Amino acid sequence: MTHQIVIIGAGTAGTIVANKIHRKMKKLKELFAITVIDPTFKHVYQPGFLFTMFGRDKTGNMIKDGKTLLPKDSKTIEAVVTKIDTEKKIIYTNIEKVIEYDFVVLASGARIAVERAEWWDHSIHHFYSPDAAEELYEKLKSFQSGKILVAIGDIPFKCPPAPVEASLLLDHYFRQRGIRDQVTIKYASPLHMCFSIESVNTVVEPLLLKRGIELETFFNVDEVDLEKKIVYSLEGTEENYDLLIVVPPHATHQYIIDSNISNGAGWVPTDKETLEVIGQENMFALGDVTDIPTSKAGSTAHYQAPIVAANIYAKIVGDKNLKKYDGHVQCFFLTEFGKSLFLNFNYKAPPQATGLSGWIFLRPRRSWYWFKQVFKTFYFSLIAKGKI
Amino acid sequence: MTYVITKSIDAIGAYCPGPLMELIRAIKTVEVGEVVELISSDKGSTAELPKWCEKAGHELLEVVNLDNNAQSFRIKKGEKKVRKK
Repeated sequence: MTHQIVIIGAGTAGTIVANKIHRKMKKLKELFAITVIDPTFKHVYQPGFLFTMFGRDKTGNMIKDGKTLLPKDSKTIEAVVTKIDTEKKIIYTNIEKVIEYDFVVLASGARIAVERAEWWDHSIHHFYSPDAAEELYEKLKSFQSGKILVAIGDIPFKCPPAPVEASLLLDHYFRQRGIRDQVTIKYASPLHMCFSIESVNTVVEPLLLKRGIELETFFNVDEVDLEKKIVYSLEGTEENYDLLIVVPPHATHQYIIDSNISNGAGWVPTDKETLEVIGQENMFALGDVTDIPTSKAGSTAHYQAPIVAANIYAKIVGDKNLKKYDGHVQCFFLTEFGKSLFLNFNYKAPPQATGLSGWIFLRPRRSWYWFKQVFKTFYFSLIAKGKI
Repeated sequence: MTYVITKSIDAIGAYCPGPLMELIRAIKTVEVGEVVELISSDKGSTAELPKWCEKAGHELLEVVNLDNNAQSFRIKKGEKKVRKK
């Protein structure tokens, strides 16, 4: 019997898991067939947005034809999934194509959902899409003086370090232009501290203050007065601005809600170890789409993908011992153009100051920055293709 | 202390900033004077939630330790602070 494995989404999570499944089962080709469904098959290297917003990279370098990154014998369907009938194991799409599955992997990620914020306006900038990052660069180029406010639209959002990184890089950018003294940079955190992980916060918050970046805590955006250029918080405080950069609200895709597989907030309830969707048969989820209490980041999907592949394989061959994801995430945390921290953590251990062999993780280092640069060059050829 | 819990949120297993965000979402849906219960197993909630309540003008009525290493935070929604417009 050939098992039909359908993957919804061809971003980082969907592409890596397709390749991992293919590699895991390549000696058993008669056992499975992979189909990937995606609306565009444009694969975007999203960590590059932080470079685009400062004119240091072109978005063209970050986008590849997603079909070229998938296993050669996988089938691709360019469509929007509209619903999954979990009883009949059928997927419906907007092109009236009905796809049957034996296993389905939800890897459709999180989408930018500015419509969720009544106060959102096109004059508010962000850097969570290629176009938005390029627009922000144009704005920054002409910015000569005034106050830049960096805030968060809602939680959760992709890449938790990104707004803090953006604040630190804004400082670097204006220092390089020689007008830092003309520019006030303020980071408005929704939490009682700058960053959500204590061990990282103890490093990052002093760094922010040392670099002259102002910090407001417990600032959850409630309303924006676009005429007066004031942001009001739920906590009753307010901040004025000349340039407003807000991490936009994120959301899941409609098919998850319409298929009755979402939790109350729209994310997919997922077993944080086996990555099975809770309450569903032969359904797995990985990456940003899940409700797992860890970072929404490409690295998370990278470490989850082999677990999903192994567990689908286990179910096909009748092995009841499923592999467990330990929450492993690794990421670089830029502190300036030229230096970065390295975050390495899992469910049990928060990011540590040092690693094996005395590697210093939580101090701004040139080495981590260059690792990140090198990583970008082999992301498409090695990571996305599931080779490492 | 007697009060009626209008809305109860189970945030067991969620880590910072999950519990605070759950509380914020819940507080938005109840009326001034009503009580929200947030159950959290995240140790960070002990420090974070009282500070947030104080800043946002809500009253932390009490914190009850539960059997499963979790805590129940009972929060009474306060008046929205008047903004200087």
